[in-house]
Amino acid sequence: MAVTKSSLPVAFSVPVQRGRRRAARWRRLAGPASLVGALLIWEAVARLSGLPAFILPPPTRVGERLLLVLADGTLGRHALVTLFEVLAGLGSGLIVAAVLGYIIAKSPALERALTPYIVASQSVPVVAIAPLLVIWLGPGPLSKVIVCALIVFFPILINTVVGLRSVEPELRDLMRALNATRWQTFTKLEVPAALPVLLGGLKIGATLAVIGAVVGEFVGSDRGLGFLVNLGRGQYDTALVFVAVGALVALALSLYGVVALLEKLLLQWKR
Amino acid sequence: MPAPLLTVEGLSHAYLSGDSVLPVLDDIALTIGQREFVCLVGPSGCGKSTLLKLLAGLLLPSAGRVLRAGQPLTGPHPDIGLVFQKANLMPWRTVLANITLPLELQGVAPAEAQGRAQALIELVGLAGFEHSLPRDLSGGMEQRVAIARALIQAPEILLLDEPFGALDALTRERMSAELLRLWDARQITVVMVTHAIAEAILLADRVVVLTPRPARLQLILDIPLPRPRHIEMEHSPAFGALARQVRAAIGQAAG
Ligand SMILES: Nc1ncnc2c1ncn2[C@@H]1O[C@H](COP(=O)(O)OP(=O)(O)OP(=O)(O)O)[C@@H](O)[C@H]1O
Ligand SMILES: [Mg+2]
Repeated sequence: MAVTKSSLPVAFSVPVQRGRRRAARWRRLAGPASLVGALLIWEAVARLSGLPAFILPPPTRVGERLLLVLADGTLGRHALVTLFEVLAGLGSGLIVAAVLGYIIAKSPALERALTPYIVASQSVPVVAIAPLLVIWLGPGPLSKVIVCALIVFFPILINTVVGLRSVEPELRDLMRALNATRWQTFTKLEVPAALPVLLGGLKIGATLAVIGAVVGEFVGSDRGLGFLVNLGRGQYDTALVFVAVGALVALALSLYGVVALLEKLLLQWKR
Repeated sequence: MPAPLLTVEGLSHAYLSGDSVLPVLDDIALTIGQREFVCLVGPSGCGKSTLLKLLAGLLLPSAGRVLRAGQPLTGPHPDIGLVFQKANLMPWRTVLANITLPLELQGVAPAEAQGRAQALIELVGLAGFEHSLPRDLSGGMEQRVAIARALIQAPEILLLDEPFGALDALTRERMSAELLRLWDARQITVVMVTHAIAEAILLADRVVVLTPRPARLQLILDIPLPRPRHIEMEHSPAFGALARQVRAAIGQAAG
């Protein structure tokens, strides 16, 4: 009696657990496996279709090109330029948008005064004014930094305002009842309460900033990953275009990853 | 009657929203002595929370004044602790950090603040949960944290706004017994809003009944039941008579 009772769950659970473990292993392998599969198909199509390499280079060729530009430092040099533009643009856009967002969230009068301009400024496509910025500020990195800043400005501004508005009025009462100073209310209530929404805005901003930098570099520059894309296209070096695009994707993903990591560290209380 | 600690004189309050004026309190006069336990009861929306916010210095009255130890109250004061209608904890702070917040804002050294919080955590029965986040606490535990936070500045006066309103009946009974124990242990004055008549009579030295909005005083009833009080007293005839008086006053006020 006792034997059957205790052996039943064991007999039952072992295959279940084994199945679950197998499923977990498969899930872990699914990503890399599909990548390898896609690369194999790409290689096959590129080789068997007879398309010239400047239209569709096979991945092995792109890989060779990657090793080459890595070895001679070309890729690193251009990637650093773009990384700088993105970080500087994201940083300055973040600061301006967060400060303005704070002011708007605090003052309904200023909100009413500024909203028409902010909304109007959003209907101007940043891509279209990028040439103007290059004319005014020259082909150096500054014009790209400004394009990035403009492109990340709006989502971060909106998220700052929404985040600050989400602070519970009762917690504000609490801070008042405890005679908190303005600065204490800011650092101990408003910042932590608005942080989840603000980081959400920063995540969007991080990917948008990469787009901004590339747009700026397309319009006029002699450096950066966007420039490298253009260079490859001009020389029918399509493998180089692939390498530069891949580097841009990696850049955008790692920025996104950094913000996601920040979220994980700072918002542990949200789980 | 003991010396007055809190005096309310001709207190009226109206909320302004846009062009409209909403009168909420009308000519309230009240004297609360040291070590007294006063319960405020009244219909929903009559202005109980508003009265408590005025006593806490969170709101300034439209007319009349509040005196604390003879001095007019012009704003929040560390001698007055307030427990809100909901626990009102910061979800990103642990139990310990929520309780030490008032001291942190006063610039008290963290080591000292934590020492004082630890004593309170034991007093309110939260030992072992110091490093839990509010999301991992039950409603009753959250209220204990809120009470501990209100007590950490060692206030003379503790104002409680329906602190057990959201709790189930059993937890509520336990919490009110604990509140009595705290009141006794800390030698404080308590003003508590509640909508439960039995709870008010069981806890209070005096029960204050307010009319519907704009709230005026309908009845101030002394509760001469002996202390220490315990839940079985609810079945005594004296208790029943007091409860009938309070209920009648509320009925009368409602018209
Ligand atoms: N900040 C405010 N601005 C305008 N009106 C308010 C404000 N706070 C409360 N009121 C109004 O004042 C009246 C009294 O509110 P109060 O919160 O004091 O009532 P209460 O007796 O505590 O009610 P409850 O029993 O529901 O908690 C209500 O009609 C409410 O709508
Ligand atoms: Mg209320």
